[in-house]
Amino acid sequence: MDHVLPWDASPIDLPGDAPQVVHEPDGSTDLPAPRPSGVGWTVGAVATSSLMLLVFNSHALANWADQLPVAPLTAPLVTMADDWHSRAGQLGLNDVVSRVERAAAAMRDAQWPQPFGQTRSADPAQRPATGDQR
Amino acid sequence: MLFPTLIFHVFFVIVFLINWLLLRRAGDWRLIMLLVASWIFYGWFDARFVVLLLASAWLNWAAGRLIVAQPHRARLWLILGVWSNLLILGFFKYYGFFTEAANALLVDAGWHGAFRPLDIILPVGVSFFTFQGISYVVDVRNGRSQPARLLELTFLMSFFPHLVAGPIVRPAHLLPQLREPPHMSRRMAAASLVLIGWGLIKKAVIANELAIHLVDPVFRDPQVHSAADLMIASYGYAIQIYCDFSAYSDMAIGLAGLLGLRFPRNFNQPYRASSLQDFWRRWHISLSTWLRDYLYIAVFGGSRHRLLGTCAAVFGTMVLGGLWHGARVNFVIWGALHGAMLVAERLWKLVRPQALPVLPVWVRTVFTFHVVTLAWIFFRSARFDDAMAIVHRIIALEPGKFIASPWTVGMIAIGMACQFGPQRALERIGLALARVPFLGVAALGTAVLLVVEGLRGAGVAPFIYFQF
Repeated sequence: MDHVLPWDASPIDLPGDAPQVVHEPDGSTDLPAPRPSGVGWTVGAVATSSLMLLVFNSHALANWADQLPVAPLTAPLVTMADDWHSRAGQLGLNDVVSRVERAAAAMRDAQWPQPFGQTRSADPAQRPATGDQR
Repeated sequence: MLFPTLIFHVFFVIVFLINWLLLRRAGDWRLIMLLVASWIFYGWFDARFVVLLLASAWLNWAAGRLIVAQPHRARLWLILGVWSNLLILGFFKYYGFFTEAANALLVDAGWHGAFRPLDIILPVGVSFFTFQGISYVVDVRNGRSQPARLLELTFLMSFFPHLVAGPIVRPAHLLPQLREPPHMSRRMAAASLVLIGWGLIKKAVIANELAIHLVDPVFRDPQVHSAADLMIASYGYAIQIYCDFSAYSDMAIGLAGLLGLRFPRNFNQPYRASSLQDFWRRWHISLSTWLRDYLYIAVFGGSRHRLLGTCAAVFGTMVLGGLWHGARVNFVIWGALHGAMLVAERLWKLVRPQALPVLPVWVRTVFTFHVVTLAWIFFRSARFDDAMAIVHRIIALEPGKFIASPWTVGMIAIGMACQFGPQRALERIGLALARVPFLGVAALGTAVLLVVEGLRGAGVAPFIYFQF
């Protein structure tokens, strides 16, 4: 049954992290040596990042709330999300996302220098809002 | 529930915290929690799918138990187990195709509507979890995996990071991990975070932008586009499908890593391959190895045959691999093109005159990339005629509309650059990140997510491989 996932077969197997086998003085091998845990570090990073996103990414919250079905239960949520989005906007917390959005829009609209782009279509119908990916 | 959405973010943070809180609890509580979370994740698409998933897991578990308990009938239980999985897959994926074809034949023969067409919803990820099931019963029969408990097997097939679009994780790769206390080192966590962040960029920015602003409009109406546009859109689709699918795999591996489980690598810079054989060692590795082990070797006999038999086995495996994507002629052509090229490479190795100089690697890489891109044209096109029209218009250098912009061409360039960059770049970033204090990691992660949020435009389309 020697078919376990070998070390280095996963992209999360980084050098220096391989399980170390403890060699006993009599030459036998024992269980792998205990490795320091990164759980605390990860919990700190994930939790802090989530809180920072709540502050700086009210766009996502407002977009999510807008897609909720209209119901008595969801109405207060939508109001809270929209209020927070507008307040964050007043405080300048949405600036990062807004600036990137403006820059992305400008880059999307950039044209080839003439005459390369002479036949470029300006038909908005060619630019759908959603993908029908295959 | 899609990975790059707010609702998934909230879902995952809750699951992640409970996962590590339950670490010291004896018994299977952690596994049960992850299983329930997986059902919530899957039920988000359609709650009925969960019942199918449970039934499939139970069926494979029962087959595995019977194989072990009745060794003299092991072959019978293996065949029944595999066929049960194939019936599930066939019913949901090919019933409509076969009833249409059969009814057409019956109409030609003077009969009318003998098979009632059913409005069947394709359960998301059915191809992936049935393949997991097949590999379990085959591996138990061949002694490559120990039999699993019902809870373990249900978990193997249901675990949410890889449930809907892989990677296909072998039972022997995951089951031993479930029987040990989970471990997550700082480096492992850092590598997982890097994979999630990079996957997010590939999917939400590169794949999404290429789909919306180039590939979808061109492939929807290829007849009006110029040869240059069709050529660029074909390259665009090659990059889009790579960024879309590898992003899902990266995020799945990263998410599993944050829960203390290791998944195998699924992509390895596939477009730097210098042959089709090399390509399939780098593209969707978990599927290509699955097809090799369970179809090419187990069913077709692999290279045990003479040359002709081996070539037929390679070709047959690739055609069935194409058909696995769906009951459409274009998928079969896609598989046949790959199969034919793999056979041609094998034959060329045998007949190539020794005096003939070997082509430089870059020439072989460019050639391989164009063969793969040609096959992608058939894979992406809605109809066979559309694919042929694209190929014809490119060869004939037809004039027409040109919508490729510096932005979309830039996305293709970034996607190509990923193929030829350092092979272990993400690992190096992971190692560097592991040395940063958690506040720095949080700030970096937030910055990346804010930039992605700003770049991704309106919404994120579902992953391409969800339909398979």
